[in-house]
Amino acid sequence: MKIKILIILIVIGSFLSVNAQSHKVDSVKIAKKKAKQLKKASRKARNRYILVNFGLNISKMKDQTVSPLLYKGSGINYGVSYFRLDKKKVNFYDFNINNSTLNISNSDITQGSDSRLFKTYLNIYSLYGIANIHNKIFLYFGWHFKNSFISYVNPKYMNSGYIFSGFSESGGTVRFDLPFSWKSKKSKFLFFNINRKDRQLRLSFMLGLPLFTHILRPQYAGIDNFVDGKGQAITHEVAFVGKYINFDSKIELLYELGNYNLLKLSYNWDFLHYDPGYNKIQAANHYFNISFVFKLNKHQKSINYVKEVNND
Amino acid sequence: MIKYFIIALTILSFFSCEKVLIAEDPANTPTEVFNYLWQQMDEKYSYFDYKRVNWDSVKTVYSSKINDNLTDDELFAILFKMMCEVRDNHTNLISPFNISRYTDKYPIPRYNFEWRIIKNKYIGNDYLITGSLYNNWLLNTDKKIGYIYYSSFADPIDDYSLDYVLNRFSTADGLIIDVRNNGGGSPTYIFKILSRIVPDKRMVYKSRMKIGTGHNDFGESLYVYAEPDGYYRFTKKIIVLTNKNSYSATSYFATATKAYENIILIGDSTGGGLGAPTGGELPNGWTFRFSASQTSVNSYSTWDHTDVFEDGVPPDIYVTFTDDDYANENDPIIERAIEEI
Repeated sequence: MKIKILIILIVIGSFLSVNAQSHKVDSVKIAKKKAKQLKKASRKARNRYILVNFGLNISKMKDQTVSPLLYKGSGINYGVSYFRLDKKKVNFYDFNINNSTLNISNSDITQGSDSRLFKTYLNIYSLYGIANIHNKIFLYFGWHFKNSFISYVNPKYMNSGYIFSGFSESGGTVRFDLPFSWKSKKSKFLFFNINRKDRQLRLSFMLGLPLFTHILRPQYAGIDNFVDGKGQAITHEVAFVGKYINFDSKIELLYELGNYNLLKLSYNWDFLHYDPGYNKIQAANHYFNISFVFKLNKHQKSINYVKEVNND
Repeated sequence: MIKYFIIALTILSFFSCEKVLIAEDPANTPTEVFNYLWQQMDEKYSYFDYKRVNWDSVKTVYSSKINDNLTDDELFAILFKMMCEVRDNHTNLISPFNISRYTDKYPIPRYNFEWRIIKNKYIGNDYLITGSLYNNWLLNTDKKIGYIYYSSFADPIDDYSLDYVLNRFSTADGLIIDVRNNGGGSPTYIFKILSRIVPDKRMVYKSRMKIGTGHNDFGESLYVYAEPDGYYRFTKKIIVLTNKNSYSATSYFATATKAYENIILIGDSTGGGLGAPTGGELPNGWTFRFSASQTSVNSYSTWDHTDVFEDGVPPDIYVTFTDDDYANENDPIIERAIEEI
């Protein structure tokens, strides 16, 4: 009899234990679900912007695959960007195209001919706010992934008339933001009365450095081995910090329009240097862009980018 | 407010450092131009050893003629003479006032080609121009022979043209493909034509590119194949006619025909040009080109000088014009082709 009672007690005890464990599992699941929902809600609450960019550039290129001379010229840029942010994190996605015409920069040489430079680039940044210096300068740090492809065309070089460079890099990016404001002010310039309203502005400086890069370049001789009628030979290699240098710095001035949209003026300088021991390439570009920044989630009662970070 | 502008100016000053980072251009002087060209060829030209050229000695000889007071004409003449030491038709120096070319490799007493004779005696004036292919039935012969003249591998050949011409000659006993005086162009059209006349897939030649500064720094061999393709094809006997004015892509084409028994090469050896030419610019803005690859015939064996046709692809049957042929308006190369079919 005692044994029977003991068995019944054990069975009941184990049932209760299983039930309690399943309750525990359920509560963990619910907590996880809630956390997921909160994360989703916080991601949704991020301000999202789409930018349409237009601008001009000044480009310099010295590709020793075909020439020891520096080529210099100007062109146009256009593209679209997207970014989203909250107080802790900022993500940028930039896709831009740069189309330039270059010629020999040395004016003593008169037999130059136009080179066409066509560059596409896709840049992705993921930055985290890490410091607030004297409550005036906001410091972000994070990683970037950049993919750029440069086509450089000059029929003057005959079979070597098309030279390309493809760089896919990943590295670190640091960004400093300096929010400031213009107070309302009335002034007179010649015959014009200028009424300047209160405006929130933001000056940003961003610098990216690559740590790891995959590079596509023409072969040593500067041409494909095209004698099979197809042409397929390119060199590619993986380079680590030092062999491939790409400084990418940007100054942005964001100007609030008052309807949650923004106007952005930016100046971007990039410099690349790649020297595998032959056919060294060096290039520098100056981009001057104006961007129309449209806020995508206006329905949310969130303050815009400039104010939000200024008020952090 | 001023402090922000100071910060901005500080950042902007950082941007101007590219002047320090980008290497200065070499001086635009005859000495610099000479040294640059010599070095480019030293590091990238592909046939020094095959042609037994001592490039260091060449520098010694020609550098003694260089000084910074030379006129452009004088400099041009010296540079091109130096380039001629490699005896390569793919060598050119290009300035605003002249495009030099290597021509004294073969003293050519006669061209072994006269379009007037071909028209008058062999195809008449009613030949068809199908795309870039001049074609007609051969006159004055009992055999049914189709004749195709292709004047430049730079002229595109499309599938329609090939289908039309090969359909036209589908009942022929044989076909003559005349590539005399064809200065070359795109290798793409070599394989367009070959795909219509080869019976099976074969390796037709191999090629290797310069990949380093040493005279024998070459990359791995690229094995090049021809294979049948296209709707209308002709795989009966084919005669390909060449002369010394058949250069570059035409030499590749002639080389490829060596792999097939149904294709016979008749005429004079080609002018060569079996190195893919690379191009570049000198410190004074002139441009140059020279061969940066080697080509060899259909052998998988190691590279040696016996199977390289850089000096010209030899015909299977050697035939050249005589003075009487010109006088009698006779093309002995076509005559021999008729005999072979």
